[in-house]
Amino acid sequence: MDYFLGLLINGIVVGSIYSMIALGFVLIYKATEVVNFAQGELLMIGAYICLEVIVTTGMPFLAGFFTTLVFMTLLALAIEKLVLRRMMGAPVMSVVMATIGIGIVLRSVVLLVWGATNRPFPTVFPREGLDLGVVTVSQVYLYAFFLCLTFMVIFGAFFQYTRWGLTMRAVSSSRKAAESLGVPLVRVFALAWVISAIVSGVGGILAANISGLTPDLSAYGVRVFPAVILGGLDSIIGATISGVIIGVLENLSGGYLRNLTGLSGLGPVAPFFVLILILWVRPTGLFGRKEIDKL
Amino acid sequence: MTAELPEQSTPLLLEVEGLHVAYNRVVRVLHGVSLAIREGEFVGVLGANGAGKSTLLKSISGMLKSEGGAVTDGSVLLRGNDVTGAAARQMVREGVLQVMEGRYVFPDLTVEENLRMGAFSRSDTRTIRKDIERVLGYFPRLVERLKLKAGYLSGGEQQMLAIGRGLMARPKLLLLDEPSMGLSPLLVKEVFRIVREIRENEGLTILLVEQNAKQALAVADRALVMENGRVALEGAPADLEKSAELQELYLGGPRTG
Repeated sequence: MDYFLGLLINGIVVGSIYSMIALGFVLIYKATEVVNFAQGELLMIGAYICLEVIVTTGMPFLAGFFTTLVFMTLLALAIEKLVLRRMMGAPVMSVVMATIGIGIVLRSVVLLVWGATNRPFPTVFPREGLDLGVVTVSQVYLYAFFLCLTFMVIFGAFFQYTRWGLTMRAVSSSRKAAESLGVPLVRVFALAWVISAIVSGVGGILAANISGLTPDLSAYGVRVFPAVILGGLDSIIGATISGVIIGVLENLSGGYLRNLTGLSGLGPVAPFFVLILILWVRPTGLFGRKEIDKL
Repeated sequence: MTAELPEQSTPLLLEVEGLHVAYNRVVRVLHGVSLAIREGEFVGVLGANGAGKSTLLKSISGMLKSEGGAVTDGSVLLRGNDVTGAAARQMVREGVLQVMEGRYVFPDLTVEENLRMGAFSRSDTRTIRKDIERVLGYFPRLVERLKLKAGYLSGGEQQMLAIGRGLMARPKLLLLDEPSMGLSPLLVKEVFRIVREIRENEGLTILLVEQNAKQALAVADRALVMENGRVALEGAPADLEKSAELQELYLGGPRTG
């Protein structure tokens, strides 16, 4: 039972990080109709920047954290302005290719600057276990979970209650109608990239805190993909819930299949099997929008 | 050709002179369209499918570029200022707003959110609440649907919402593109009754593009008939209604692509 609860809680925590990254995917997709394949690299570079700031300048973690957010903002604006804006009107597939290219560039930069070796993240959150009664959980997990939760609530409120949040939803609902009302689409696209980069950066920092930092951290981009598809590429709530589902699935199947088969590393594979099963039944994902076809 | 203006004392609001428009640089749709609208006028543009009516509106409202179109010759003047090729964003700020053909509401947003989006370009945000009530005055059907997603509205309601959302921007010149499209005759009548009411109360200048000649001629002060990207006829609704040419254009005229 403890084993199960441990895996479950692990899964929920990792899943909440997945949710954040999935949110990044969904945001860009909803606003610009482009699937950003550089999402994993964005979170990886966020983690490296944070680590670098803390280690080289000796700044406290919080300063490193906020510096990273500023960096992610600038990076997103640069990508949007230098690459994507020039591709406005190009076929979606070309833009998707461009994001793959951006991913490769970011990965190479990280390899050039920091190398491929594993770099431990300095202890930011205490790792001692916290006794929750039934099960003991490392505090870093709890911090990560609540940080994700906070960010999700902030962005949820942003979309529901602010003028720009409403504008972003409007653009994703009908780009043409938004344009006809004087909405500057380019600025909305840039905003989507910025928010997406910020949540990725936070996700990257948390993931690195838990599992250490190598360029392989960018694999999170791929591991989150089942969550994105499961949630339906265009649903923010779907991405959030699916992130947690995938995290739990991954941990439970990883934990139990290892005992069963003696093979480790089956965890990340399991979600893809479930993904295929679900898409079989519901091609638009669990929460995806079936177009409202009513005239 | 130069538009003939009726004797009126109000100043000119919009002048379109010799406008040529092409899509993707090759598909030429407008071949020298000219028209002038005075403040407070209600002008109807009639014509068959593909005559270039919508393109004319889009080249005024700034919605041409995102569809791959561009003005290749001629000009658009607003109160004497050259606004040829200006983006929709600038035109909305200048008070020119197009209600797009085909009821482009935000299907995933509620009716109220749709209306709020209409006021996007306004700087005076304090009066938005009041304006929503004012707009709902014209469309009482929408009141009980405020919290409903616009995608679930009927076609007529969506058309009303699209017009109401346009009013939220407080435009000076409202460009209406085929408000009757796909609506039952009864609803068409209702929409046109409301448009006339809006015009009387708001003191708006309206440029209406419509295939439903009968309805358009009933509400407009003046009308143009477009054919093959040119203005073929122009005059008072009563004269046009009797015109044999109009009958011919509509009933026997060649359809254009």
